[in-house]
Amino acid sequence: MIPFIQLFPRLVNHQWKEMIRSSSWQKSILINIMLGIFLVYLLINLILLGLFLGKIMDSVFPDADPVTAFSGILLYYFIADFIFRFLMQPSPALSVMPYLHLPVRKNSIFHFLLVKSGFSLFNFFPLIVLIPFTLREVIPGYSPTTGITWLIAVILLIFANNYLAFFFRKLFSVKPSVFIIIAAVTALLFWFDFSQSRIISLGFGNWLMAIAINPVWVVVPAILFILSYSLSWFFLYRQRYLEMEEKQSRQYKSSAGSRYISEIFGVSGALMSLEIKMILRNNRPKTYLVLSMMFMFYGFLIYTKHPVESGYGMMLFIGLLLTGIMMIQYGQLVLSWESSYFDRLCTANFTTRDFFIAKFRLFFFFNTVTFLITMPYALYDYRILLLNFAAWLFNCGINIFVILFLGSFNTKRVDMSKGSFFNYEGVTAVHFILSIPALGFPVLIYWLVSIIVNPDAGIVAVGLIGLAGLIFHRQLIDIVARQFLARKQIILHGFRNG
Amino acid sequence: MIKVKGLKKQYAGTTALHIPEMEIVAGESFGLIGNNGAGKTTFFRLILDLLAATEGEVISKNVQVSQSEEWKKYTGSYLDEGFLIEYLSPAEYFNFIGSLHGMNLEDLTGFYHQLDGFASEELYQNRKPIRALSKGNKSKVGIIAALMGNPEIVVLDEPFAHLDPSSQISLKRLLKRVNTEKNVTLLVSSHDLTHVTEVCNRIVLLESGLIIRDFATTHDTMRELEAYFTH
Repeated sequence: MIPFIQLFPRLVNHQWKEMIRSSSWQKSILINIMLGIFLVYLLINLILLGLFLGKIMDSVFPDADPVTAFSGILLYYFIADFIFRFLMQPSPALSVMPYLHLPVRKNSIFHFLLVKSGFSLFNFFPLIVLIPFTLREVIPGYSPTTGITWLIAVILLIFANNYLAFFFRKLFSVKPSVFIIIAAVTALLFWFDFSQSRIISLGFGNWLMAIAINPVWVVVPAILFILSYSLSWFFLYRQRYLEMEEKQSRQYKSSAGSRYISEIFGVSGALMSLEIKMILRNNRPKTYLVLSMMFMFYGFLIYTKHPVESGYGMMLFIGLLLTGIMMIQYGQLVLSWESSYFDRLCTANFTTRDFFIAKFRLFFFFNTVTFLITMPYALYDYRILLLNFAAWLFNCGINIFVILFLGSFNTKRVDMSKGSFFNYEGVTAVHFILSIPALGFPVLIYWLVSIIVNPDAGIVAVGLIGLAGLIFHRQLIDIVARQFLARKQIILHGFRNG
Repeated sequence: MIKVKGLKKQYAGTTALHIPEMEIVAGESFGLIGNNGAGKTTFFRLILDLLAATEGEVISKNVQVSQSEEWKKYTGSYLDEGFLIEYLSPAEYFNFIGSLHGMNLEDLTGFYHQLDGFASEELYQNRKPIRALSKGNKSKVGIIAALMGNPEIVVLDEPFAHLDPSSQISLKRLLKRVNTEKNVTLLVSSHDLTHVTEVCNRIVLLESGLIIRDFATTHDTMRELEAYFTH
């Protein structure tokens, strides 16, 4: 058995190779550059935030000590951070299988997974704020020892949070009901804190300050960190055979529903029910849909702050996004989702046209579902309903075909069973560049018509264009099918070679 | 049934397959053999329009496969796991392929009975996702799906690999029967010389993308092939 110390660098090496050699890293330089620019921008912002945090605290809480006030706010940060990690942080992706049969201790692999999850941006971004804040506020305001102790305590809590989120993510994959409990506890905590004049967060701030002033008490966050690390380790240890067994014992009933769909809609029905099964049974498409469902609540933020009077154009854009979010999210990787069995789809007994008719119907269904879900927003203002109806028509009549047309540029294989929010596998620059006109174009039409005639006519025009698209959907499907056939070999080649 | 004209497939300058002229007539059982990298799978992919030929064309029933989708109606195929939809159970997969051929549940049961012993009831009723099946069962699922909907041409790439001995025997029987009774044109590749010579009445030997031999099976075939592969 090779000791952990010797094994560790090798595993790091393999992980590095896995990342560098993955197709998404190599082929999308443009995306990497865009993400890089975004990262630098974020860094500068965070450093500035750290430097001016003391001033901000002074202006928000004029009678409190800025460090204590900030310590109190950190509680909210930790909760938000936890939820964010729970939703966004990818599970460690080292595929353990190839190592398990080798003369390597299982325990070493578990520790490697855990250490690796510590190297997350979520753990290093806060430092960019915290270090300037410590240098500028805590050390001058108190003493160097207090400053350093404070920083260490906060860092320990950040890492404790890291492993707590790790544990709950893993638990979530076994028991999805955990999510509801977490959501309920958080909501309750926020509600209680706000209604009782911030008793919990102020208490947390004082507790953190008490630790900072007596460095011995830094053992408390240290113990919390060790506990959460052990909890994650224990879960991995207990689960070590479970994943395999779970795969073996999962069973699917052939449902009457799917036969029903294919009886009504024929071949395209069979294809639709196949695609729905694909979405429900694989992590990544499912995550995409859950995320878009959550996005629909975005309307609450928009409609409470901006009344419809503030401009139809903006509201139309929101409407297009809200009523099309499922299609837009899922549609980004249309065709790529089916890359692992695309050879089958290209040889089975149906035409390319049938294939796209099924996609059209499925997306029509998606848009209708999101339209119905966002209907209650009409309670803010009845005009929202009219705007969203026009947006729904446009999404169904035009944007479905735009997305399917662009789908022919999806030539990257996607592993649909790997689920995580920050997974850019298969996403190409095309999606970033060309999804803007899909939403911008109808807004442009609206503006043009509203300048020439009036705003109401602008909305009607957008709706009518959508309706025209629906009436001529057969012709539009033919265009999409022709585009696909022209690129079929390129797509097949791409899917076969990662 | 299938005609090949000046077919050439090149990858980055190296020729993977070059077949100037060939014809496979209806009802023929065509066995393709050759070592790894000889171009067997490439040839089958070109027939199924899963690969673009660098030059030349494959013609199925007088129509180029790359120009029309007609061939999909009468061609059943199974090349590799990329033909399986892994999150479906076998039953769901058969239902799906069956519904594309307009088969209802009764038709499916009738079809299963014709397979006489190649797969057991257990496989048709299996509710595990295909990705959890053993390799042998995976390839059984693929082969069965390729035979659905009364195809006139069946293309199978190494169907005998991974199968257990009794399934190998019953598959041979099944393929021979489908070929003689229903006049289905069979295209089968294999590394197992005994199996191909038993099933096929025409053997084509590929080496580095070129046809080395092309002959009808006789009782001497086995010896001839063994001699070829021994040197």
